[in-house]
Amino acid sequence: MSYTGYLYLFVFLELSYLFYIAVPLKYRWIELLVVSLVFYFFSSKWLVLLMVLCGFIVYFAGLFLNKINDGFSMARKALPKEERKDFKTIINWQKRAVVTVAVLSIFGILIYLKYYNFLLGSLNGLLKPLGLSASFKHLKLVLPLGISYYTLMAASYIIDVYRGKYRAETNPFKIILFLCFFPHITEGPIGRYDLLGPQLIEGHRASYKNFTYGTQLILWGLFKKIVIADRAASMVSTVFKNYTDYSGVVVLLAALMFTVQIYAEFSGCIDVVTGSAQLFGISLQSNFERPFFSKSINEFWRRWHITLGAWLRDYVFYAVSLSKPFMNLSKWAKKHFNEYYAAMVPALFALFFVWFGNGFWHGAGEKYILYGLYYYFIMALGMIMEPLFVKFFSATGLKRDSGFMNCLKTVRTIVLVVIGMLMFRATSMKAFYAMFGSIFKGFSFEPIINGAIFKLGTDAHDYLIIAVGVVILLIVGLLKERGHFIRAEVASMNLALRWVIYLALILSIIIFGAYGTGYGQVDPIYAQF
Amino acid sequence: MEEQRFDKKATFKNFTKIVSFLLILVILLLVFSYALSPKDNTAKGGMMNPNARGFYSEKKNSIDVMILGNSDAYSGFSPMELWNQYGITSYISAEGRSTVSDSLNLLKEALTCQKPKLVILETDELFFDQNKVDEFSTNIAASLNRTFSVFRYHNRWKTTSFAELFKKPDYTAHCVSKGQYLSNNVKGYTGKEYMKKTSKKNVMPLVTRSFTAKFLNFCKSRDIPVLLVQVPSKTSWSYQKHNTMKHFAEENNVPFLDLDLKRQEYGFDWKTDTRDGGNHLNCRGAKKVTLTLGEYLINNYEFEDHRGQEAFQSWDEDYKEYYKTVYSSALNDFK
Repeated sequence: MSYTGYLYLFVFLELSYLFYIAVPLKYRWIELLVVSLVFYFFSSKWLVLLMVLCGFIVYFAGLFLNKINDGFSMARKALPKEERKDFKTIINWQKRAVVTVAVLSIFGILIYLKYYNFLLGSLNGLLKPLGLSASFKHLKLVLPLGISYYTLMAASYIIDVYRGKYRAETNPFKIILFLCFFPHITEGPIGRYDLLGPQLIEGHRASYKNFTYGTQLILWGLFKKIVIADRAASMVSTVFKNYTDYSGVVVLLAALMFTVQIYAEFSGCIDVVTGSAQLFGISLQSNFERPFFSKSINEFWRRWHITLGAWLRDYVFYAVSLSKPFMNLSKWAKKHFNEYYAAMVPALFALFFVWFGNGFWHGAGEKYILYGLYYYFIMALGMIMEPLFVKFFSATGLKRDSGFMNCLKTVRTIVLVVIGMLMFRATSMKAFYAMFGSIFKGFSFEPIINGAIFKLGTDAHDYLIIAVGVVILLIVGLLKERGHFIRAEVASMNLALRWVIYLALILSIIIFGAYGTGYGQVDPIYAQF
Repeated sequence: MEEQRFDKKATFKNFTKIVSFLLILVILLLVFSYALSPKDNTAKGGMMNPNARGFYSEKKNSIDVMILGNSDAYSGFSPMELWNQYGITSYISAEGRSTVSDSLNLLKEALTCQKPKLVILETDELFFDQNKVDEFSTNIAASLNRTFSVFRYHNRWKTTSFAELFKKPDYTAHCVSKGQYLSNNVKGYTGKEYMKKTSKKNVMPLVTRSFTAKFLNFCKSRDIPVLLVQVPSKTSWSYQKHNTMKHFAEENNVPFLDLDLKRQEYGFDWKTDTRDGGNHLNCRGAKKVTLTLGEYLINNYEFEDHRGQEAFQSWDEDYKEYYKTVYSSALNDFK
């Protein structure tokens, strides 16, 4: 069920909300669980059981960890001081075993369903030159809805319990609700149990403020998705599908349009789901913070798909940083490099896994892995070159943080991101190389002058709407960058002005939206991960 | 107590605000629906599927039989043959991949200018293969399109002019075939017989079932009898579906005429009467189906024979045009 479809917007959301406020406060979380399971069942039928299984795996693992921790606390006091250390080592080993089994089990399901064909296909490729004819058969596997999201959430829950951040939940259905809460199951944000769990369980009263703020956010998200992203989709699809037919400015424009499309779509859908959750009084974690104002790639990824970046930081970067090979590398680097590089080399080692994981999470294919490593390479280069940059700026006397330099940095970041998006959307790495190279071959503005770009499924009217939409995004983004909380400011305006804004937004979605006859349904890109 | 009273007051105020806002929104949607709806029933005028909406420019209340359905309907019936043989005026208001909800919309549109004595609903669309989510969504979209045509015609902002926005509609399209898709292409079906007798039934989708009941109730409320008809279609019909439809028709006290089951009786030939290997009929197939249907209509209903009546002279002219197109030219799908 699409978050921007009629069924969700006009039936499912309303009924869920009405049932929610009709149920006594104490039982409202059960209503959320039921409607979330219905939502899930509508999309994935009996594959819902895999999600439930995932919930039960981390539930039982959590109970085990509770039991081990409780046993340790009680037994520890009775032990002589000298035996406590050994006892703690045994306890830690037991806890590690429990969390490892749980994490491997839930990731095992994900890897089997999402990566089996890719991994075995790659293995076949490796065995062939060696003359080994053992070929693994391609399987037709169906991915359950949101498996890439709920697996990460389940893993974060059990690792947090293992790390002692909070005690394990004793009711499995509360964990299942955390995993499948209908607003975030398809595209995230990737929630954390300590932030989201209590909100889901606590019953929230109907609030006019939550209702209006939530509705505003849903409308804003629909504007981004239906008016901007879906309108750009047609041209993007035409050029990327038949990339050998296009070059120069057309390919460049397609890369830019895809960047606009994916941002408007992903952030738009996140706005719709965040607004939906807000109706129920639940705050989801922020997933976007105006990424195109970033001055570096590092900053971009702190503002784009924030919850994925935070997950990789907390559960991959930190895990690698605490591992033995990392410690050894750190010691080795301290002996062989100066202070800056001694700190950088192990960080680069840990970051490799983060970016490899980022690429691999997005999809089963070399393109996605290289997409992650593309950003790793840029960041690593930046870190390695940093001392040179420092020298350059001190020698030239140029101010590194001047307005002009910041502007240049933002433009540089956007250029690098657009190249990354070209790679992300290209049908293969071969297509990416061809498209990237074709931009520079005989570049001319002729396709714009002779109107060829208006024959790619997007006419002049469509470009105009996209351009106006992007300008509106830019203005809203600038206001937010300057600390404005637009929804609160609109809410404080006088009634007539406020209603004019709301009505204009609704009518612009209905009139300028790319839906209905003549437009294909555009499935959300991030729902496919 | 005072706080509670205050809350009630605030709740009432907020409720009033929401209702007022929605009221203004509805008025604006109606205004934009009028402004953006096509002012002519031609393709140039922005009308969607103009052939299905040619009834707008037929003489007021001149159509006796409205035929609704999907592509099977606009390929499988021939209003001009029905006219020529029986003097019955009919119009096919059908769209590709249409749902029963879409058909109800079209019927409601047609009733703004026509007063049919019979509605024929082609039954293939009652088994439209969709998952539950899509089925719900399609029907919600159809309801929205019906209530506020701005949802259907919103894209007309690209082509309309300011002067046209509030112009009175003037329907000028003239569809000689009266909604039939004309094709003389022959791509026969030579496979096995698919209508093998069985007592098994097919499942009629739940949402479609309820919308079909709504369709029937609507016609009942307007005193328009409904006839369910199935035209031959190897791709979409089966004996299981026949059983389901028969049962449904009996339950709802509506006649059902399965012209796929009776193919042999009226000399239908899959080798020559289909344009795409058994999915849709060509003009030859449509003629055979229509003549059999006409026989059924005059035996079971009372229709005035309009042939020779001055008010229906244009139908004779249209038939000449139709005859010229179908019988004396090499029609094909590309025309």
